Amino acid sequence: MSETHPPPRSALVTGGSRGIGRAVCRKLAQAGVGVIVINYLENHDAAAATRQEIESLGAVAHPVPANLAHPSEIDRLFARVAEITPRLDVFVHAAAFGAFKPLSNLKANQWDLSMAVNARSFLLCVQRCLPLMPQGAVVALSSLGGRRAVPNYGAIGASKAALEAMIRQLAMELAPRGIRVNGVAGGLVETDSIAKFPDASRLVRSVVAATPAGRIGAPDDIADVVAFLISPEARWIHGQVLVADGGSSLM
Amino acid sequence: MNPTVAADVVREIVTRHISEALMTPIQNLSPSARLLSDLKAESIDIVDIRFRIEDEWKIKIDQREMVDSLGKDLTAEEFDARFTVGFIIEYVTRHVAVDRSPA
Repeated sequence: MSETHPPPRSALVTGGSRGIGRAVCRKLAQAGVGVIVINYLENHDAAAATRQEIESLGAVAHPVPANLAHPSEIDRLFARVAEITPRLDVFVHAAAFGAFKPLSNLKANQWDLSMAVNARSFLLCVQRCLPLMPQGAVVALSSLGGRRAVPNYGAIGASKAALEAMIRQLAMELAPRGIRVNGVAGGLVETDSIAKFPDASRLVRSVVAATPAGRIGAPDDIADVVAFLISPEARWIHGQVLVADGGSSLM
Repeated sequence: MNPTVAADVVREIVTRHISEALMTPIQNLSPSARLLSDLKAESIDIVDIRFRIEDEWKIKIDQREMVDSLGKDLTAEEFDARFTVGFIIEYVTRHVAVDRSPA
């Protein structure tokens, strides 16, 4: 993105119907992004609710279901994006999926599925963004589990580490084209995913106790950082993964 | 709309996907094999099998509806007994256009 680039007008958010993705869509609409494509897996009710919320903020929302585990569906997603907007200014990868269990008994298919949705789909989506994005900003949602050991998070953590490596590599490759690529690594965030952790309530208590800010994150805590990273004020930030965790990783 | 698919092809493909997802030899996948207690499938494995089947036939499977079709208010034991390879094959067969005529 050139330093004089105007605010973004169109965006695609994967995993945009719920949790952090939904909060990102809301922030984008509030920031004046006029066209937001909301990718989601299959929860049509959640997608409809997000669409309603986004449109109440003055943006036009287009929910598009696609299973990012399958490259053919990513192709179909981008065919639809191209019908909706000839130009994409922002791509946010919030979709996430995976096995919440120890690596020591992880099965091959569980590894593959975690990597496919969290990491491989980011690469395939960025590649498909390029014809639509002469310049712009890409943000991927990582997590502290990509760089720290978190119980039952080995598969997803590995996929987030791969994601962060791609953020750096793609930032280097795409900066000359005017595309900035960055990430946000949150700590534990209040979303439906928490319930997938074994002994989730104990995990939340331990994270709160270890977080200087005294609570777990809210989706808006992460979405605000995404909104900053896509803004012109972040024009000199390339290939970074900003940690937004209430200070939990300091200790 | 899916083209007509022979029932034995549905059975063969569904069984192959279950075999590949669970890394279990096809010969272990009798119709009566229980996914949970016999094949040790976990919830993410069921999602994986569903994704593979959806991609194969470009269909969408409502996993909740699929589970509900096993019966209402089942005990864990009843659910396990009914959630078999044969059930998955039958369920998928109902969701793709199937030619049941003899070859």
